[in-house]
Amino acid sequence: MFKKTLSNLSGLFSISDEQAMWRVQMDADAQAFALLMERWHDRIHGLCARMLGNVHTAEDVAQEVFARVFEKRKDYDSDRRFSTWLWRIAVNRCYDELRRLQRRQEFSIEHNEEEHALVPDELIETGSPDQHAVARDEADIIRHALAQLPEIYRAVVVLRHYHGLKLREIAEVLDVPEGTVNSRMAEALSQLTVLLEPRFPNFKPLRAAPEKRTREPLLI
Amino acid sequence: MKHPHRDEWVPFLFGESSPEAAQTLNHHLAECAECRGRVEAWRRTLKRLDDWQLPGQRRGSLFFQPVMKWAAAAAIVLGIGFALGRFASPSPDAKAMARLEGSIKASLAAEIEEQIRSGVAAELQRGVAARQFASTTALAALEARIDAARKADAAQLGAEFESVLQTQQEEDRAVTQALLSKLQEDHDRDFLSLRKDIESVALVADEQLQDTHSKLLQLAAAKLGP
Repeated sequence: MFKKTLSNLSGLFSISDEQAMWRVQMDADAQAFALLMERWHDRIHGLCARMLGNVHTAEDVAQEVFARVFEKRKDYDSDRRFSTWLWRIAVNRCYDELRRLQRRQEFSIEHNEEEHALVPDELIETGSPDQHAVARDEADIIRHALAQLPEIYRAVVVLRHYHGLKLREIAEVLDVPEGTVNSRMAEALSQLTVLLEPRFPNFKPLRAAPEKRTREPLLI
Repeated sequence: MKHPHRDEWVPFLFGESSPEAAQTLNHHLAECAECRGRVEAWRRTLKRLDDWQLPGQRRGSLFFQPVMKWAAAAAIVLGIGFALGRFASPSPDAKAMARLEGSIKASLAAEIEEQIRSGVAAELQRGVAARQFASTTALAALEARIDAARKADAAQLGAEFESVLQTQQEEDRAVTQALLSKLQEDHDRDFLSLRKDIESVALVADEQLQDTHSKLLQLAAAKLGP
């Protein structure tokens, strides 16, 4: 019997997200749910970290997103893509958290010293102290600029740029017309450009490292 | 010069506009320094966004263990609840069931959340401690220990799940068997009484037939008589 359970478990790895979610929905299938978490945790955590500007809060919120997925499993429409539904829950959960933080006046990136931990990982491992300091500053500038955007603008930038969703998919996730996504993105890019251009006077478009990173926007 | 609307540059920038639109916009871009400036500035901005990379998530998979455990527990409790509900009462009190389900859900959600939080906090602390103090070998040993513990946990969890499932299946089977034998009994009883009825009807009919027969004989004898 136990062998059978194990073979079921290995069978799970070839099923689609939609099939796994269907099992969660029908039978509260714990293995299928664990599989979905394994597949999606890092991306959802990444979204929360970019939206909230804090990796630690993001971990809590990401776990809450999955708890909500399980709680709301009956609401999932199996004719639609699981990813769209999941991104929507995650974005909405981030909006809620931002509102809660704003109410408690905790969302103050300027005073959050802990956030210096947000450095490219490869630099933590191998970089010299100088490189480290530069990277920290640049990452901080970006994080700060994104945090200054209204959250509905930030969401489209994060979903498109860091998670590679198509504009059409973003429209579906946010449940708005595609034209609205385009205009939010145009406004977001204009505001970000105003914020960032003066901060990078010696910006060189061709550097060694970013090439590698831009090719893999999903790996965060 | 008539410029395209600002929003039209967005799909163009991400390579998502139609071939015709892209051609028109490219054409405009070649002639219009103003729009070219804007699109180039947006491209620079997008490139700069790559400077914010998140730390790697090597410890990520460790987070799943407590969550999976709780999800499995939730599934088992819900499954048992469902089975009980199905067999317990022929006319279930829907409101009470809904209330019960609601309270189970709420308490499970709270517990899962708490477990997740404490699990995450514990894992974070462990991760930080490991980074700060452990040498490479100590880290490897720790990982091996965690791995072994995780495997043991998974095996235990699987066994528990299995036994609960088995018990539940046996209960289900017993209930089904009882129902079936009751049905069979009812059926037999009905059959017997039906048979008795038919037999008595046949008996009565037979008697009457014989009666009629003898009357006919008498009648015939009378007619044939003198």
